[in-house]
Amino acid sequence: MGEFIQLLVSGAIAGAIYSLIAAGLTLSYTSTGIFNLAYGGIAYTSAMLYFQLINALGIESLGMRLLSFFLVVVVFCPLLGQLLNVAVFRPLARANDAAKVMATIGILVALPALTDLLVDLGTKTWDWGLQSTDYVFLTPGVWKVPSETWTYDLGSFDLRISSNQWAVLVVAVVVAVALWALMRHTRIGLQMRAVVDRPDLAGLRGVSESFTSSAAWIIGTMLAGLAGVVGAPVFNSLESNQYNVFMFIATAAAVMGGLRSIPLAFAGGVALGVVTSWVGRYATFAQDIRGFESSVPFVVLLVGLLFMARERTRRSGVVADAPPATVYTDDLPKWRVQLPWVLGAAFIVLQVFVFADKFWLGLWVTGLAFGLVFMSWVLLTGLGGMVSLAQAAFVTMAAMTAGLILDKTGLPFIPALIVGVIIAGVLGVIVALPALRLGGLPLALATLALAFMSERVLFEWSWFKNGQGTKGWDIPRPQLGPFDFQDTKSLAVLLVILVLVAGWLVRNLQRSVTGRAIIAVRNSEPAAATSGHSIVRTKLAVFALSALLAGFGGVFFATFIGNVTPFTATTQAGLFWLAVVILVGIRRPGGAVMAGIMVAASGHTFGTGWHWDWMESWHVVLVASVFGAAALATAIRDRQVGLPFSPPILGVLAVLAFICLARVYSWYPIDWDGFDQYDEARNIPAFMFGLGAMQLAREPDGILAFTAAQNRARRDAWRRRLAAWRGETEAVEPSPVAEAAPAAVVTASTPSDVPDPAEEAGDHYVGDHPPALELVNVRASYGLVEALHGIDLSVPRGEITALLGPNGAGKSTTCAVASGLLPATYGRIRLDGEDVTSLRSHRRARRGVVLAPEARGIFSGLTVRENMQLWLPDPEDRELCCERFPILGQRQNQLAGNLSGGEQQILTLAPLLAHPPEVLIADEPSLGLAPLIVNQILELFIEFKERGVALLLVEEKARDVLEIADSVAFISLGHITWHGPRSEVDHDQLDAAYLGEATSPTN
Amino acid sequence: MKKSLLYKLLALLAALTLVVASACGNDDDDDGAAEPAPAPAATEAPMDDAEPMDDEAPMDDAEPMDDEEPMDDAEPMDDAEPMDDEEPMDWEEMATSRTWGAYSYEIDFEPSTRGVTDDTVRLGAMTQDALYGGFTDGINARLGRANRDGELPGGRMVELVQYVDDGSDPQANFEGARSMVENDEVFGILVTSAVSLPQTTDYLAENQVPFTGWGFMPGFCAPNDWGFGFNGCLSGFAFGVEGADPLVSVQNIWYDFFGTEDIQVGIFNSDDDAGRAGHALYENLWAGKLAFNDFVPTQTGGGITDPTRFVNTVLEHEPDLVILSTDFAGAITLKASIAASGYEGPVADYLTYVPGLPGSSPDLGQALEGGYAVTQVPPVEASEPAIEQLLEDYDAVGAFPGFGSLVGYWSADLMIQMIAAAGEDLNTASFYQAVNIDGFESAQQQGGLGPVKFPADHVVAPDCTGMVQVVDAEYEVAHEFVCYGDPNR
Repeated sequence: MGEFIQLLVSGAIAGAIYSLIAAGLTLSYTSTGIFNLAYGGIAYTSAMLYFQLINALGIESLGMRLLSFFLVVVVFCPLLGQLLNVAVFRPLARANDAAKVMATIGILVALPALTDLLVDLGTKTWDWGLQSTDYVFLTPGVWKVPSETWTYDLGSFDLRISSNQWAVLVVAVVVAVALWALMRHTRIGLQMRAVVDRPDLAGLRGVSESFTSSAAWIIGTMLAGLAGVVGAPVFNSLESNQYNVFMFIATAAAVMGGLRSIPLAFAGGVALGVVTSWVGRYATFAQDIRGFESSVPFVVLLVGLLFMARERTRRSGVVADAPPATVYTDDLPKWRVQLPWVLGAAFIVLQVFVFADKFWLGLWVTGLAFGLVFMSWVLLTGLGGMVSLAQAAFVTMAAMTAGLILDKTGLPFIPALIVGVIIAGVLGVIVALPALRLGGLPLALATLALAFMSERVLFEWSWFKNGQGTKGWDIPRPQLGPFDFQDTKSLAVLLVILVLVAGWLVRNLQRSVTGRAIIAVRNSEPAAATSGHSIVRTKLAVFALSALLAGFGGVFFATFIGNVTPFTATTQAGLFWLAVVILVGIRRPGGAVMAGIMVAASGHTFGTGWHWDWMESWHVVLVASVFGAAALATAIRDRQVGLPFSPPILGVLAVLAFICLARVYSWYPIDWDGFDQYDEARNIPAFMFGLGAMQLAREPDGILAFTAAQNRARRDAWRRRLAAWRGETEAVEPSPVAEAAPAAVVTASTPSDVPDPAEEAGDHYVGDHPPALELVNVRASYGLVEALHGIDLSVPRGEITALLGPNGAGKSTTCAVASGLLPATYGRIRLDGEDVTSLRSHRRARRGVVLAPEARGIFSGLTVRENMQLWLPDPEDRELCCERFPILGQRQNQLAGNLSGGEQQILTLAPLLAHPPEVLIADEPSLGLAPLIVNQILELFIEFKERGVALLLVEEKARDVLEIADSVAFISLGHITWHGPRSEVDHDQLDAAYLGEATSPTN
Repeated sequence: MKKSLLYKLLALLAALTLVVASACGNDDDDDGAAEPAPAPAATEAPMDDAEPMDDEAPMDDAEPMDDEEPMDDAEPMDDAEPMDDEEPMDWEEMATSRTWGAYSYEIDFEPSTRGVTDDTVRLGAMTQDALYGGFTDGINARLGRANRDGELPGGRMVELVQYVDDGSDPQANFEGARSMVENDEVFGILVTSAVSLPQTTDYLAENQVPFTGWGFMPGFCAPNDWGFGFNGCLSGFAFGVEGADPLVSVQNIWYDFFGTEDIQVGIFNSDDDAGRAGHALYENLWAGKLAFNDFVPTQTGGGITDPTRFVNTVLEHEPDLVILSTDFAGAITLKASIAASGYEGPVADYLTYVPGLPGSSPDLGQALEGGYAVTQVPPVEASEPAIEQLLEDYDAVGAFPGFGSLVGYWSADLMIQMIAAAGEDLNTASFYQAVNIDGFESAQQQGGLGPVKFPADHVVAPDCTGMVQVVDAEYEVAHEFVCYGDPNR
C-alpha cells in the first residue's frame, strides 16, 4: 500500500508535466481550432534556452536561476507565441485540417532544428560562449543545484521528493489555480470561453477573435515553456526527440479532456503519469513484452479518441474541409500545362541514364522510392481527405515482412514483395478502423498512436525483426530475368518506370468512378451513403491502397539499402516526410515525387556532406548567378504586377545564396587543411522544410499550387497590360484567382478599395443628422453567389425599421453585412455617417452595433451570469438587470443553453437594456416563441426605441412587427423593393412581400 | 505568352537547380588530382552473393583453434609492430582463403586501391556526435603519431578526409558511408554509432571498406569480415554469431572487486535490444545470484520519468551490487536517485566513464559521486606506459581525451596497425590477406587495450575491462584494465 501511494505521488508529479502541455494544447485548440503539436518543440527550445542562460549567468546562484526562469517563461515564450500566432496560426485559422496539422508539425520539426543549429554553431563553430550539450543528461533545476532529495516519513512508508519534483509540483499547482482564475474570473478568460462557444457571436459582442487567439497562443506557449524548464530536470533530457514523445503523451491527456476541457486535460496528464508508474510496477507480465510500458500512453490516446468519437457528431467528411483544388492553368494549352512535368521527368531520366555518378544514382533511387511512398499520401490525403501519420509504419511493415519471407522461405523477390505489400495493406486496414469513426485531427492522432504502437511493440518483436539486436533482415537486390538490379543504374531505371506507372495510375484513379466515390465520401458521408456508396468499404479501400503503395515503395527502398530494421522508417521520420510532401503539394503525384527527391537529396546535401570542393570552382559563380537571376526576376516581376513576394521560394534561394557566398568567403566553418566540419548543416533541411509551415498558412495546397496561382496572376497581369497597351477595352476573361481568392493571391477587394458608389453618384447624404445605420448600394456574396444586389437602407435613431421579406430574400445576409459578419463586396456601410465598411464585427460591436442573430444571441456553454457579464462587466448593472428580469436572477448559475426559447431571447436582449447600443439589429426575434412571450419581447423593443436606439427588426411574419414599426422596408431577391413609413403600407404590399414579388407599391 | 513561359521555366529551374547543380558538380569532382584512383570495380565484378562467406565451412566449431600454436600469455603485449616487414605482396600467389570457426575468409573480389596513393591513405570517420563528441580529436591524435613516426610502410601518410555526424539517424549514417566511399573515396572508415545498422555495415563489406570502432554493433561480428572492433565482436553471443561466447568480464571484475563469488546482484536493463540481450545474458551468468534483473524504459521510449519504483526495488532487495545496463540517460537518472535513497553498495554502469564529466555540472557531480563505471577503454587516469603514450599523442594535437575521443583514438590505433600489416603494396586484397587470412594480432603497450586477433575477434573478443570510481568529482581507477578473454583464441 505504501508503495502504491508513493507511486501515486511520484507518478502524479511526472504527469503534471504532461498536464502543463495538455492544458496549453486544449486552450489553444478550443480557442483557435489548431492543435499545436509544436508545443513539444517549444518545450525543448525553452529548456535549452534556460540551460544556456543559467550557464551564462551563473548556475550556482538561485537569483540567476530565477532570473533565467523569468526570462524564458515570461519574456521569451510570450514573444515566441505571438510570433507564431502572427506568422502561422492566425492566417491558418480558416485552412483545412490537414494544413493545420501539418503546419504545426512543420514547426515541431523546424524549431528544435533551429535551436540545435544555433547551439552547434555557438559551441563548435563560433565562440558564443554557449555550453555544449553533449552528455547533458542531468539538466539543472530551478530551485536547487545540485538537486536535493528529502525523505518524508509517513508512518508505514517513506516518501522521497526531490527539489526538482517540488518545483514541478509548485508550478503545476500555481498554473492550475492561475488558469482556473484566468478562465473563470477574468474578462479575457470569459471572452476566450465565449469565442470557444460561438466564435461569430463573440465577434458580434465585441470580442476580438484575433485578440483571444493571440492570448491563447501566448498562454499555451508559456505553458509549454514551463513544462520544458521544470520538466527537463525530472526527465533528464536535452534531446529534442524526447520532447516530441512528451508532446504525444500530452496529446493523450488532452484527448482525455475531450479536447475541450482544460481541467480534465490537466487531470488526464496527472492520471497518465500515475497509470504509467503503476503499470510499470504492477503489470509484471508486461516485462516480457518489449516496449509495452512505453506504449501505454498511446493505448490511452487511441482509446480516448475512439471514446470521444462517440460524442462527436462530426465525421471525417466535412464539406468545408475539402474545397476542390483551384485550376490555375485553364488559360493555357494542354501541352503547356504538361510541359513542366514532361521536362521534370526528362530531367530525371537524363540524370539516371547519363549524368549521375554511382553516388547520385543511389540518391535518385532513394528519392524515387520515397516518391512511391509519398504518393500514398496523394491517395489518402490529397484524394481521400484523411490525414495519416502512419505511412512510415507501412514502409517498415512491408519491408520487414518481405525480408522475413526472403530469409525464412527462400522465395524469390517478387513473391516476397507481394506478401510484404499485402501485409502492409492489412496493417493499413487496421489503422483505417478508427477512420470509420474519426476524421480530421482525431484521425491523424489515432494513426499516430497506432504507428507508435506498431513501432514500439510489433516491430520490436524478436521473431519479426530477426532476433534481438539490430541485425534486421537482408533484402538482396533482385535479379529478374535478364535484369540484374545489383547494378544501381538498373534499379534506378526500374524505379523511374514504376514511379511513372504509379503516378499514372494515381492520376487516373482520381478521375475514375472509384475516385469520384472517394471524393463523395470525403465531402459528405451521408450524401455518399444515400447515393449508394459504401462508406466503410471506400474508406478501408483507400487506406489499404495507400498502405499498399507505401509498402511497395518501402520494399524497393529497403532493397536498395540492402537491409531492413525497425529503424528503416521511423514514425518521427514519417512526420518529417509528410511535412515535406504537404509543403510541395499533396494533391499531385508529381509533387510527391518531387518531395521524395527533395528528402533524399537534402539529407545528403546538408547532412552527410555536400561536396564543397566543387563549389570552389566556377560552379559557384554559375549557381549563384542562376539563383540570383531567378530570385531577382521573380521578385521584380511580382512587384510590378502587385503580387506579394513568394516567401518560401525566396527563403530557399536566400539560404542557398548564403551557402554559396559563405563558401566563397569561407564564412562557412570549413577547415581547408582537414575535413569539412558540417555537422551543423544537418539541421538546415529540417529547419527549411519546417519553415514551410509559414507557407502553408498562405496556401494550404502547397508550393506547387502557390506557384501556379502566382504564375496565373502574373500571366493575367501581363495580359491586362498588353491589352491596355493595345488600347483594347474589353476585359480580359476573369481568372479563377480573383474569384476563388486563395490566400496566396488576395491583394484586391479589401473593402476600402471598393469605390464608393455614393460618392461616384454625387449623392452624399444631405441633412443635419445622418441615420444611425446606413447601407448604400451594398452588395454581398457567398463564394461566387451574390446574395445582395445593391441594398440601400437607412435606420434612424429612436425608430424601429422593419425589414420584411420571404424566405431567401436576403434578410439574414443584410443583418450579417450590417453587423460585419460578412464583408460587403461593394457599397458602403456607415454608422452615424462614418464609414465602417472595412471594420470587422467586433470593431463594429464596439461602436455600438449589436446583432441578435436568428438562433438566439446567447452562449449556451456559458452560464446566465457569464452571458450577462460579457455585455455588463459591472456587477451593479447585472443586479439591476436581474431585478428587472427576475427569471435571469433566479437562473444565474445555470448554463444558458438550458433556458427556454423565450428566456434565451430575454437573456439576449435584457443586458443590452442596461447599456443600450447605438444600433440593435434583431434577426427573426419572434421565431418559435409563444405569443405571450412575443409580446414581452416587443415591449422590450419599444423600450429600446424610447431610449434612442436605432432598431432594425427583420421578420418573415409581418403581423407583430408592423404594430410597432415606424418604417418598413420590403426585400426580395436581394433588392429593397419598397421602403416607406408604416402608414403607407397596404395589404397588397404585404401579400406581395410574402409572395416575394418584386412589385412596387401603389404606383 | 512567350514571357510567361520564360517565367514558368525560371521557376522550374529554381525548384530543380539544387539537385541539378549538385549532380553536375559531382561529375567532374576530381580535385584530388594526384590519385590514380581506379574505379571501384567491386559492383561490376561477378559476385554471387553479397557476403563472400558461406556458412558451409566444414569445421567443428567446438574446437576452433586447438591446432594453432598456443601463445605465450605471459607476454601478450609487445610494442613492436607485428608484421610490417612483409615483402610487397603479390596477392594472387598467396593463400587466399582461410577458415576460422564457422566462418571462412576468402579473397573473391577484385582488389581496389581506392583511397591509396603512393604517399597517402585516405580515411573517413563517422559517429553520433552527441554521444561520441571529440571522436576526431582522438583520431587526429593517433594519426598524428603515425605520420610523425612514419608508421605506415613506404612512408605513406594517413589523412582523415571526411567526418560525418549521423545525428543518430540511420539513413544519414548509410548515406554518410556511401558518400565517404563513393565521393571521398576513402580506404577505410572509423565508425562508432548505434545507428551503424547492417544497411551501412553490409554496404561497407560489399565494397571492401575496412572499418574499425567500438565493437558493440552487429557489423563488427561475423559474417561481416570488414568490420574490426578494437575490442573484438562484443555481443556476438547475443547476435547469435556461431562460436561466440558471452563476455565474462562483466562478472569476473566483480568477483575480483569483492574478493568473493558469493554476492547478490541487482540489475536494471534498458528495454531495448542491448538491454534485452543483456537481460538474457545475466540470467545465465548470474544464475542464483540475482536479486533482481529488471527493465527500465529507454530514453527514446520516453525515459525514466519516475524513478521511485526502481529505487524501491533496490531498497527492498538490498543487493551487494547494482548494475545499470541501460542507456546513458537511464544510468545517470538511476545513479542519482539510488544515491539519494541512501543505498550504500556500489552502483555501476557501462557508460558513464567520460573523463571530465563529473566536474562538468553540479548535478552530474552529485549524481556520479561515489559511483562506479565499468569501461571498455583503458582509463586515462591510470599511470601506465600506454596511457603516457596516449596523453603525449593528445598533447601533440592540443586535445584532451574525452570518452568519444578515446573511442576514436583506439579505433584509429587499430586501423593504423592493420594498414601497416598490409605492407607497402596496399590495396583491399592485401589488407584482407594480411588481417583476415594471414592472421593479425594487434600490438599494445602495457596498460593499453588488450590485443585483438583477427579473424578470431570477428566472433569473440579479448574481453578486457577496467573500472573507475568517482571520488571528489574525479575518476579514480578502481580496478585495473585487464582482459578475461581466452588468450589462445
